[in-house]
Amino acid sequence: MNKSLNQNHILMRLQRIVQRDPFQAFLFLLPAVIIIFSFSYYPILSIFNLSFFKWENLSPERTFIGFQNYINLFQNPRFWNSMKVTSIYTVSVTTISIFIGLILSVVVNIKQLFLKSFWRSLFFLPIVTPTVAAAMVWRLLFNSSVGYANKFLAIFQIQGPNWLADKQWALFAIVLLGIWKRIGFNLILYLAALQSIPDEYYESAMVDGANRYKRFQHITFPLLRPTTIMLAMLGIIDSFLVFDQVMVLTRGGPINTTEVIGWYMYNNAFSFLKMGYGASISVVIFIIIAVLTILQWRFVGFGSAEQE
Amino acid sequence: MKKISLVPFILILITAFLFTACASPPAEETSAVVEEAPAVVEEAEEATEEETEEMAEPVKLTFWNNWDNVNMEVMNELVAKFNAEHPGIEVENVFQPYGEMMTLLQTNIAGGTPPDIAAADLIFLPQLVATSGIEPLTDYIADYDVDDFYPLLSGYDVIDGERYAFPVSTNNMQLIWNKDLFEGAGLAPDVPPTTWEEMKDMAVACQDLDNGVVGFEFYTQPVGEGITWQFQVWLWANGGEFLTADNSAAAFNTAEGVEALAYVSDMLQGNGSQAGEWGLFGEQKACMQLDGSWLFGYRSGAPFDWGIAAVPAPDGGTTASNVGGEHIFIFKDGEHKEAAWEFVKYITSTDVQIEWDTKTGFLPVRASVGDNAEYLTWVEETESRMLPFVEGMPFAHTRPATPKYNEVSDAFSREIQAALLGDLTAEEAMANAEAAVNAVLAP
Repeated sequence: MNKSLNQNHILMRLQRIVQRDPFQAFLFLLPAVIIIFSFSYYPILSIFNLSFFKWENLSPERTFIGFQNYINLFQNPRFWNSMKVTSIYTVSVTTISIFIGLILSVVVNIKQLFLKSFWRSLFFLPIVTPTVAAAMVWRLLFNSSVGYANKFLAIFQIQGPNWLADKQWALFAIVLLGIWKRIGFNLILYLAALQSIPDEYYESAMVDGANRYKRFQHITFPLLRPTTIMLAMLGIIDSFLVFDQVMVLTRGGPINTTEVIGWYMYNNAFSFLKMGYGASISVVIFIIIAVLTILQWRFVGFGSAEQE
Repeated sequence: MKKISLVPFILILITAFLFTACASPPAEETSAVVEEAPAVVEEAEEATEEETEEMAEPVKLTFWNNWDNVNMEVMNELVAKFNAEHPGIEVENVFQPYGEMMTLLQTNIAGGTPPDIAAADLIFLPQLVATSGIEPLTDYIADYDVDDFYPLLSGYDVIDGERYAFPVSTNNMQLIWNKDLFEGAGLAPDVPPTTWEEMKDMAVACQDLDNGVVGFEFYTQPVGEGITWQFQVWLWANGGEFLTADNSAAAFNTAEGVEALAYVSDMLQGNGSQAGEWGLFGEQKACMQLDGSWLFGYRSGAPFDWGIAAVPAPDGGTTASNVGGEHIFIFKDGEHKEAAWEFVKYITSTDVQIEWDTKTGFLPVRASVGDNAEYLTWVEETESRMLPFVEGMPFAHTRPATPKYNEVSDAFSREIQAALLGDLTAEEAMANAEAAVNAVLAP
């Protein structure tokens, strides 16, 4: 009692200080501002700065070369290839995982469903599994001689490919892992949205004689639209930054067919130690993600699903 | 009234204190490298310190390396022996995982907090020297018997006329074959192939592709140094070269190079082999493969009978091999470089090297070990299968010493993989690889 009074008292005094003197308010914010600037904004600005230098092997010399890193980047077919690969990955993973997530959420939401929470945890499990660990398992699954993928196909008399070294199938394998990782997230958000739709809508539709499919088409689907848009935007942003599974499964190969932009940046910056060039790739990724994020704010608002 | 304004200042003071307490600002922004150096374990050696009757406190040195398991135990013994023999110096042996060694070294060089001594994979050395953080040894080695080291290895450590390191451990690759599978396929179990032709015939005879058994296991995926380092053996055996002598351009796109790639690629199209993930040999699904002298660590207890032989030679070629291993160096920013050099001398000395090699299975880095009767008797008596590795050393090659090696290797592996997987001919893949590698090496 006494304690909460005391706390209230302090809060009110703080409020008074802030109103009276904005400078003092700023001082209160300072600790947070210092931390955000030194650990977020300063590194980001340094990357922009670094992208104008030729700096290799962490050597003491750094040469200012203006936009040369960007010119080299935009003239390099491997960069455009990585953009293409990343786009294919992003579009496939986002659309397919939203589609499957939606269907599964409707199924899991059925009231009579047996072992409801078991299914929910099952589909959510991939999200809490570290990607690297999951990718190690998938690497075994896709192993051409001992992997279960090919053993499964062999049941149907199909000779499975050497998945991770096949130009046609390597990216497919990576996309499959991406979808598997993402379904659970989509499922949970759809489930939350589904459960916020009042039962009355369905009841009155049933009175009007709408069947299950009509109810989905005219009630569920339109009311899920904001969630769908948000999941699409988040999915695109998240998939564009794909890295872990490529590193574990294919390292960008065969040839360059799975070389996503994140791996291309990592390789240049941290294996080849071309820091300036790597920084310029980071800047390009940064700009693309920034644009997507701004689009997301415009479509779905600054926050998340709740703001519809 | 005025009292109130103290609150924010206290907050600021606390923040400021936290900042000064936890961060010494880096000398330079060092890119967004994620790993942080693990705090070097603080010495808890107060007791020993008091025991020593030396009036001066011993100089403390930190030695980083990536030797684990048995190798680490042996190195701990050797370090303890050094500390006992040198009361004024106290070396601490610190293990760093292989995969993080390069990142840790670079961030610590850039941050001005390197260890005193480190031993790392030889291919890292050119990139490390380019950071300017490594101490040139030219002034230290006047009274040191540099010529006793195998030039193949010690030559790698000379960059632009300056010596930066010494080899401390080495290994190479030879042919390992599964005698049980040979016998099962009707081949003489104790007769390994000696020529490329024999190797291919035996591989074809031994393969059973329907059951996933290949005659010879080649490294085909994923792209990267694994492909490059294994293929270089065939390239060198056939008389090819990887880069020009000054490391300024590709040198592999020659008749010899194309022939080597065609030989391997042809076998991979079902003629003794097929592409797949590495690791078949251990599962008894490959009759032969190339593997390094470190294999004794995991093959000694294999549930099948195996032997080691020299890498088969092509018509008109020789056997060949590729060497790995660690080289030891000291840092410019170190405070006690003379003491660090004492340790380098100790650990590379003949006696210590003999103990090191016999206890770990590493191969000799200097002639006085390789020719040493005691060492050779040990090989003969304990593991005669090691002999092909020891004898293969004169035929071994090192990968080019250039800071661009990682990028060259990556580009090369991507292009030749197309031939290994049967998508392009050897000629086409070699031409593409040449263009890609030259683009990397262009100034």
